[in-house]
Amino acid sequence: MTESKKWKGAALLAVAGLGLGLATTGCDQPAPNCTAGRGTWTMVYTLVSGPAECGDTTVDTYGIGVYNQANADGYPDLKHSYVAIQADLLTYYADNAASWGLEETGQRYAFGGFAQEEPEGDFCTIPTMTPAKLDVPEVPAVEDDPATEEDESYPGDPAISFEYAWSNVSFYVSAASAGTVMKGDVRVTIDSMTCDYSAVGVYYSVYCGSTILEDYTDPDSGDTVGCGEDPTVCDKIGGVCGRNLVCQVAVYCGNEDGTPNDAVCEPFGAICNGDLACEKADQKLCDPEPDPDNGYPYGSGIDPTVPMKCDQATMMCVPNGTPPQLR
Amino acid sequence: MLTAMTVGWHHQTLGRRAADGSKLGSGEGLSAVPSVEYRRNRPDDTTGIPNYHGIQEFENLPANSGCGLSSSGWQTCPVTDYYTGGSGYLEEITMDRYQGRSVVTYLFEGLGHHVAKAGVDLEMMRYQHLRGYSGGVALTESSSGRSFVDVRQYGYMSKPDTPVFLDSLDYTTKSYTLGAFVQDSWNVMDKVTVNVGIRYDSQFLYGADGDLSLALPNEWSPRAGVIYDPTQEGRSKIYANYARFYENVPLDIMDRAGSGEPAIYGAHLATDCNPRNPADVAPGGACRNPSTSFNPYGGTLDRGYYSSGGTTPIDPDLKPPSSDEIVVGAEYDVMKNARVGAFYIKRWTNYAIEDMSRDEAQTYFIGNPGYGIASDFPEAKRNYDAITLFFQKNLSDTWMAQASYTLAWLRGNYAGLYRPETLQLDPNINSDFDLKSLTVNRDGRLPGDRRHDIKLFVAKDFTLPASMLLNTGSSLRARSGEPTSYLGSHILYGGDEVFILPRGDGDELPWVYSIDAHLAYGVKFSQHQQTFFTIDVFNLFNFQEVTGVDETYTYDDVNPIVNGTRGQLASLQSIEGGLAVKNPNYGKPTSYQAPRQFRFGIRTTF
Repeated sequence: MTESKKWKGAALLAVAGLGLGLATTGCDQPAPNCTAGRGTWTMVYTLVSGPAECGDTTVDTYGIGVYNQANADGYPDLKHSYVAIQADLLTYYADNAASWGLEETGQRYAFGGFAQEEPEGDFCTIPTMTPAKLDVPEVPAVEDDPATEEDESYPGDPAISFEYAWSNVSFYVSAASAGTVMKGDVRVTIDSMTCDYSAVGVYYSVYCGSTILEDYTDPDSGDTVGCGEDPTVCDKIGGVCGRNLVCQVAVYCGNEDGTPNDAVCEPFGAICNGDLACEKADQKLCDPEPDPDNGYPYGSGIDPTVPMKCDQATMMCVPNGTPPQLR
Repeated sequence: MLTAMTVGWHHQTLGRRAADGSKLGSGEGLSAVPSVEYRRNRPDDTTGIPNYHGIQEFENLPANSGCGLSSSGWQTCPVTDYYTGGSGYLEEITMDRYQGRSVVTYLFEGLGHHVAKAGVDLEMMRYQHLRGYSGGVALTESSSGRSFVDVRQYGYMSKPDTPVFLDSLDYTTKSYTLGAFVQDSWNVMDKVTVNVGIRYDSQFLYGADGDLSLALPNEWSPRAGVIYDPTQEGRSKIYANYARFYENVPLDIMDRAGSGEPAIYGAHLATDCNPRNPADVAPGGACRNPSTSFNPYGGTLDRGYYSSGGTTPIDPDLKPPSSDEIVVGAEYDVMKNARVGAFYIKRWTNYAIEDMSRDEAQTYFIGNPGYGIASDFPEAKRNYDAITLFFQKNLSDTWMAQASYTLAWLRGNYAGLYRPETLQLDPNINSDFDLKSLTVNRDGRLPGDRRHDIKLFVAKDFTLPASMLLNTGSSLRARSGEPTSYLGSHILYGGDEVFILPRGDGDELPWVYSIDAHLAYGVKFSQHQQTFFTIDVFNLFNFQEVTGVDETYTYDDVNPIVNGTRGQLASLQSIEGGLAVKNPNYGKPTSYQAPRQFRFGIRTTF
């Protein structure tokens, strides 16, 4: 065999080998890695067992995060992810205590790793999670300092303990919905009360209460205040620059004694909230589709495959029925 | 039967280094210094006066500069955006492309003459990309001025509030493409030529972890054409061709979406962190201290940092990106070595690959806009139609000439692999389809849509005494201008991402003319040896026409005016409230055609 023929033969062999290698490469796209939406989630609990105080159904918000350990090359191992789940209720008490310089003991979040690298049947499961277990110390009452104008008084909070024990946690993961819906069982123990819930979570958490606004009228002139050229003029009166380019303020619904007056809000189909402003459940805030012509420049940010509704009681977007991924 | 085999290797390195030439990771010079952006602009809570920095805070000015705080509290020389420190984003890139091709040609007779070809192509691409930020982080001041955010920093979280910082990312991604084709050019009784063929390609792209991340198999590309000479004397032809082309997907998509870009963001109070103090921005300094960092997005779980950056899922039914083309034309010899002709080209996009988010940037996936799991997004459209009339006189009798006029349209909602409006070069993962709210008003005249294009070229050779030669040539090109748009800021995506009015509805840029000239003086030493001294002059008359204008109509976050008109711009509202503030530089020139240039050369043939 001449040198030329040897080279040709080697080249043809290389071409054939590479071609064979490529021909046997899978034609399917790789499955997504097991993951979860990072940020705030809305969780709907359904009571499984526990005293009546637990409530049949409850809506709460959670923070969920995704974590990775280092590969040999120092970069994160994206195929093996860990998840932390932390209830906002617990966070509220712990942060409040921290703001008074008091330290909690324990762990704020439940933590566990996915059993799989990629979903099986569109689900990624977390077999075990260490529970969130936290003891928040008592926040002592504080009396007002009469030497100052500010009211420094604080009624104080008793010590409180939390435990959130999660089990059977799984996240729906597909190319279209990458960890945006989850389910699991959670045993919530707050002090001595224990409630067992079945939970469904949707990423991400959206507040859907909408304050009813009306045009602001200057008490001296009786005129509205234009804000087209300078929208900051509305800041000074605690309002916003409306789409009609005049300042608007929330409809006030307080009685003279500072209690809420729902009757003021009834014509708007709204309720009087704790800030004594009329507020109504706005379904559009749960809509994943933007509607810029009507003041919704972007969508809710919630997975559009999950039908949602605005829950009047909590003013949170919640699944309208069981999410299709979990049926 | 003829066989041919070619192999090729292309190697390229390039980089973006700090202004002092220092390389990423060297730990030297400006590459080791974080960049800092100062941009506070919010009104003061009590006075309502915007809290801009003054230029005197950054530059040494003479005492009588007049810059400072006025008695009423305003900065007399306000600064809206100012960078200090290092150079920000830095990178070192090494690219290799290995190609092999083997073609067999077979000539045979069968109801006419046949020239049949078959072949295989193999290609391997390798892309090594080291990237990072000078000093490991880029800091940006918040609009209130109360904090500085690690707006660019690689890293990840190993558990809540446990950051792991990465100085840089050094990824190597690869692509393998296998292709094969068979074609036949069949001359039927010397009257009609029929060309038919088909290609098969498959491309497989691998992420930095070495695993297959994107599979693009089954790329079948039919080719068909027919040529007919009505004169049967070789003086004319009427032809039509159809072809399908697939995009060879660049590796940028693997480097970013296919490998993940772990990023981590923290914020530091300006009362603790002074980025102009080198000790504060050094690792472990007050602007880098995890124990005092807070989450700029206010998360409850990770109080110190926010992290992002997994790989992007792929639609399981993803189609390879392709476009089709039809060409129909006719030519006729009007004199010896000269012909006139006309042809029409129609080219359109079948499928594009892009990244998209259906939940307002919470999660992303890669798919085909308008198809598969992205069927609720608009289809990617990029339609090119062009009619060209031409005259061509081939080089004979010492002269040649070419003249052509093209009338063309380029319309759609997909600028392609590059977004000229924002200079974004992220093939297959640019922002065109990222959010549904970004797709509004994107249908229209695309960048590069020049309606008229006229080209003239003439050349004449002269033979001088004493074996001397003189070649002359001149060309003229006249092109109508590109469209412009009215751009605004998107509330989630930032500057120039909103088409306030339908794409291309701005003033068309002016015509651009250019005349080039060529002169070559040569000496002939023998039958096969001659030397030419050449001079080329580009833009001979130094025309200085505008080739680009500022298309940012407003820096405010605004909504698009669906199918709006210019008359509605006056009432355009900012999403934050009030009328949108028009950019005073809107429509003003940002670029001009290149000035007159000379090129001198020597060419020897032997």
